[in-house]
Amino acid sequence: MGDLGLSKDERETIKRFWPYVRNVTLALLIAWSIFAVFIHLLAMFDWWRSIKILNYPLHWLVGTQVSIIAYIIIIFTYAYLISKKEEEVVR
Amino acid sequence: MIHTEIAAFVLASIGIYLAIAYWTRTARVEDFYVAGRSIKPHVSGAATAAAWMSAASFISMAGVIAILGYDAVPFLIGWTGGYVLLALLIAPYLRKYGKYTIPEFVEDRYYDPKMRLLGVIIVIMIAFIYALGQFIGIGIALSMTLGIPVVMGIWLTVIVIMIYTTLGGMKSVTYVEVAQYCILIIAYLVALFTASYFLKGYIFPHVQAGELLNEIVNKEAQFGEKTMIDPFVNKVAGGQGVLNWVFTALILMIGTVGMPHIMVKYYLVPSARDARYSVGWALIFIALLYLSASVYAIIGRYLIINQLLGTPVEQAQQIAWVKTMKELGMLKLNDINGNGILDSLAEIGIRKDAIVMGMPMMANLPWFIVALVITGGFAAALSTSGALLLTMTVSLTRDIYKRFVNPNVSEAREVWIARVATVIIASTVAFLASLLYQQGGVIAVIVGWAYSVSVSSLVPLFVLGIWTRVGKKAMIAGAIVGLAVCYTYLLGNFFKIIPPILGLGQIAGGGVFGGIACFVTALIVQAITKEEPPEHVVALLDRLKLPEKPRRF
Repeated sequence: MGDLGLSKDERETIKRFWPYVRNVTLALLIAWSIFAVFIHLLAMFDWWRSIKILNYPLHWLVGTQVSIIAYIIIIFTYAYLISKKEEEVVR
Repeated sequence: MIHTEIAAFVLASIGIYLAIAYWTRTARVEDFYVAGRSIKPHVSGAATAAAWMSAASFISMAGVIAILGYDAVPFLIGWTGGYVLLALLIAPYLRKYGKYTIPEFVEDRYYDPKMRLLGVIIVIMIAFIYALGQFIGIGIALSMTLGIPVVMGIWLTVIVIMIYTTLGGMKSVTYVEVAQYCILIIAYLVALFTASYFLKGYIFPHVQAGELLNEIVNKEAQFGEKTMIDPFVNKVAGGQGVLNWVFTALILMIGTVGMPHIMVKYYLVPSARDARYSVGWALIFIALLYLSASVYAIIGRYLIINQLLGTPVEQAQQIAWVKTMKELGMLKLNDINGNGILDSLAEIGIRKDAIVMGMPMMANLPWFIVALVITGGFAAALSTSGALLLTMTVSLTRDIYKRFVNPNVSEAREVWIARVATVIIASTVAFLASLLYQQGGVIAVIVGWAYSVSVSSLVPLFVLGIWTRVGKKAMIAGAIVGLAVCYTYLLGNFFKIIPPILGLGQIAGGGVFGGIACFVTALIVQAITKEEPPEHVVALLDRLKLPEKPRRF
């Protein structure tokens, strides 16, 4: 393994940390895909476009504002969850 | 246009950048390449936002939305959504790995010096094309607003960037980018808030401009036009329809992950935890402009529709801003049906760049706001160009000169070589930009290709490299096939040899087909060769999965 080889403790740490990282990443990628793709497909439907919030048609509001805010929330959720778990595991 | 006053604003901003660069000058290799890895997450976020938001974001984004309406939304969500992928899949791992350059990671991960060369080629391919577009754009913008020749505008930009990048490399560039971010965002928001207040008395236009949007839609419907909110009706990047809309957004998102001048920003922060938060800060700073772009577009389109649509041509030509824009070549009024009235949007030919730069004039705002907006546009173009030049410099110096030519070079000499490389690369880009500026339209299209190339090469190299144990043979095959498919589609579609497949334009088609080809080829070759990376690489990948010890300040 050389200098880079992992010790037994480090392997145990990975077992406690990595599955959590993988699951959080996957869950947030699914959330991201909703705001990156799927929600915008609703713009094909008249009923969706006819809904208005603050005088904006919903598809416009989702495309220009809501999605971007959702991306910010997803990134900070990820940073918070992983950093918290990191502290817990390393402690 | 008051050239002297605008020039004074632009020159004052240049003075600020040079003063910051002088104050942060350095001769240490670690400062020059990675700013000493001491940049706080929010500072790195602001610098990333400035490096990210080019003249295209600042000058063209709102204009494209004003002209294409909802069909331009892929640019908004595409250039922001990629940061989620960057945060979740790449940034913290790049920082944990802790080297200086992108190709350095590629060589180590794929255990072959040839892979480092491949990394350098891809990084320079993307950064060079992107930088060329930036310099041409800024040369044209400076020429129009300051009344100087385009070539002079290009060289003025290059000289300013050369001075501040050679003084302190990444350290200077990072702090200068923070100043550039402040200037560009203040300029954008001051123009937007002032115009919306003078126009309709709005205090917070993001919430209140829905009313204006309805007025626009009603007037356009009255004239039998497609309205600003109609989805999937306009051509975007050479394609049309729902699929093109979705895939253009996706390619821009995935392409963002592989933009080398953004990836290197995650080497600058002290830890992987900081890298995660830094991406969030970057997106907050970017969002301040991107959330405002659609509102800027609504106000711009309202001013145009309200003042020109349905107006007699003679009367329209007497409007002060119409005269100015016609002189600058930004507006053409064309009475197609010869009835003397501008009764169709097709009769109002306005350049997309004219909306942001021209909106303060259309709204009759004081001259200093026009000057502020132009200074902001200059800051946006400078910040992106500087980041791209530095990325190329670092790749050439560290990944070619130090790795293959002179591995024992001293630290002082290495920094000097980097400075010389900066001057050579900057001059080469400026020289080519000066030759090609008349092909500005073509170059703008080619800049979009950088995203497709990134999706077809650099993104798979990193995503598969970090998240799987794919071997080097599989990745070499994947990158070559991905690039070949991508370029075949880009060039074939550009020269009209290949028709849009599934309605996909160049950016969407090149990225989708190139990206899929790269991933699929890599996975098939991996399944055939069953190549296992050497133990030290497996250990390196395992080490990326380890949690970091929290730092104590």
